[in-house]
Amino acid sequence: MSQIVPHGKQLSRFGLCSSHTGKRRWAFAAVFALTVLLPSMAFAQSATHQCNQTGTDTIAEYAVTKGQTLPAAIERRLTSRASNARRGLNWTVDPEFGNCIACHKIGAILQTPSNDNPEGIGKFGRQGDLGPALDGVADRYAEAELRMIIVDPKQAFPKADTIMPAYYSVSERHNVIEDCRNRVVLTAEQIEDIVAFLKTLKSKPEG
Amino acid sequence: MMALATKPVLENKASWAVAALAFGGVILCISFQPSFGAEGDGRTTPIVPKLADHPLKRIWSGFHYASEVAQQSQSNRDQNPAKAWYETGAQNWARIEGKAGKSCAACHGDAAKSMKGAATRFPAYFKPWKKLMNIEQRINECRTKFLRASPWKIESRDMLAMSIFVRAQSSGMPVRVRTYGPALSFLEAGKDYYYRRRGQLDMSCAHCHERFPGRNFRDLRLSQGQSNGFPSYRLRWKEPWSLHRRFAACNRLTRAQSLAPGADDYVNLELYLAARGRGLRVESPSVRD
Repeated sequence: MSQIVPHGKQLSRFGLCSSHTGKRRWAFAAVFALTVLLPSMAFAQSATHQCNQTGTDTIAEYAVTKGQTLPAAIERRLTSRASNARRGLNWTVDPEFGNCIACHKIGAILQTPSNDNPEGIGKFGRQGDLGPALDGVADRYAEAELRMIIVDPKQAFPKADTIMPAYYSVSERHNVIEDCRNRVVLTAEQIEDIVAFLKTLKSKPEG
Repeated sequence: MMALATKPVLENKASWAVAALAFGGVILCISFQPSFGAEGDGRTTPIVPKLADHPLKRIWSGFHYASEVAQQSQSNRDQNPAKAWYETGAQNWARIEGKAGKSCAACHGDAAKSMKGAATRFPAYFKPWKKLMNIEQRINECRTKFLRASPWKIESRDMLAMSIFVRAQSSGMPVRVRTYGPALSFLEAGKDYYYRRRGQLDMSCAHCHERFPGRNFRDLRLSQGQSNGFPSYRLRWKEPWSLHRRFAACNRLTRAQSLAPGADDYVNLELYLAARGRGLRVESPSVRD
């Protein structure tokens, strides 16, 4: 994360402080106000998110092809590192990473309902319902399509004006907080872990 | 009915029958006629927008989406957890402050009379600034120009308290901001802000608040994101927040840049929200979850 260096410190090296004339003092004051006071007011907001360190120059290239049911899919894995469904579950439930259950219910990770806990809310907290439930998602979409949906749902569902964020894209963002500019939400390894986890969400076999 | 009261005893049974029918008819009419302001107040019955191109089919206050606990706390002024702020506002209203040796009351007298309806009309176009002005900015304008006192920081307790106090004088009145004339271009700017995707998570206000009110983001029930209840005491915050503070928090949720309170974008958005929720009753200070 870059340090914010107040520009005022740099100005003092240019000798404006040591001037004796009134005009230079006013100029210094104006420049100080413009370069230190105003920007520091803008940065008064605290960055509450530790955006991961992957930036635009380190995103793995990926090829988009037509999916089985969706107009876009990514056949090849984003990383050669072995993925792990257990880690994928971590990224899925952690609010600092995928936070998928904020919008998508996954019944498979609920606890067994009891009298004290009729909804079976487990240690992962209450799940949201802005998006479709993910139980059985491995039956509905091929692996390549699951990958595309997470990487960039706008390509997977181009007509839906979807609320779902693109987890591995930096194109056309507007007003991004400084820490997250040109950074993806999840790394390639995290996405592959999540895909591995989603592939375990199959419906029970018939009969 | 008045005629019946002053007339002497009716002469025959037929007259009594007609009188009874008339009486019954009047009672029926009173019972079944739609109430005036039939569209509802957005709390228990929705407001049906009059304009055909309004983006919402039904307008609901955040009250509608709040828990019973929150609704009950709001409905009773003594139980309202923002009561202390209201009282601070009332005290500051009468307090002499600044070089002019005046209080708000010196010019505005009894706030219940002079401020009645004020909250329904802000933000408003302010000619000397050539842009919109909201109530907090109006308060500071009065402080600096007429009390000749220092302006309050927008998120300070004093400003929050005065904002709650002033707005509460319009409690129950329908919001009816002016959106034509010089305010129009700012309304459009606010509308543009509302629908623009922003932040690393690339969402607009509309994505949550137009598409998913009533649905849940984790344990948070989404509302239509109306502004009629602000400053709002959210039980999880344990203090009231101004609308602009809420905007900044929403910005950070989508990992977008947040602005300082009073920023032009926020004031324009404030006008757009007021217009979008036109007809909702002023509920400040509202209580939400």
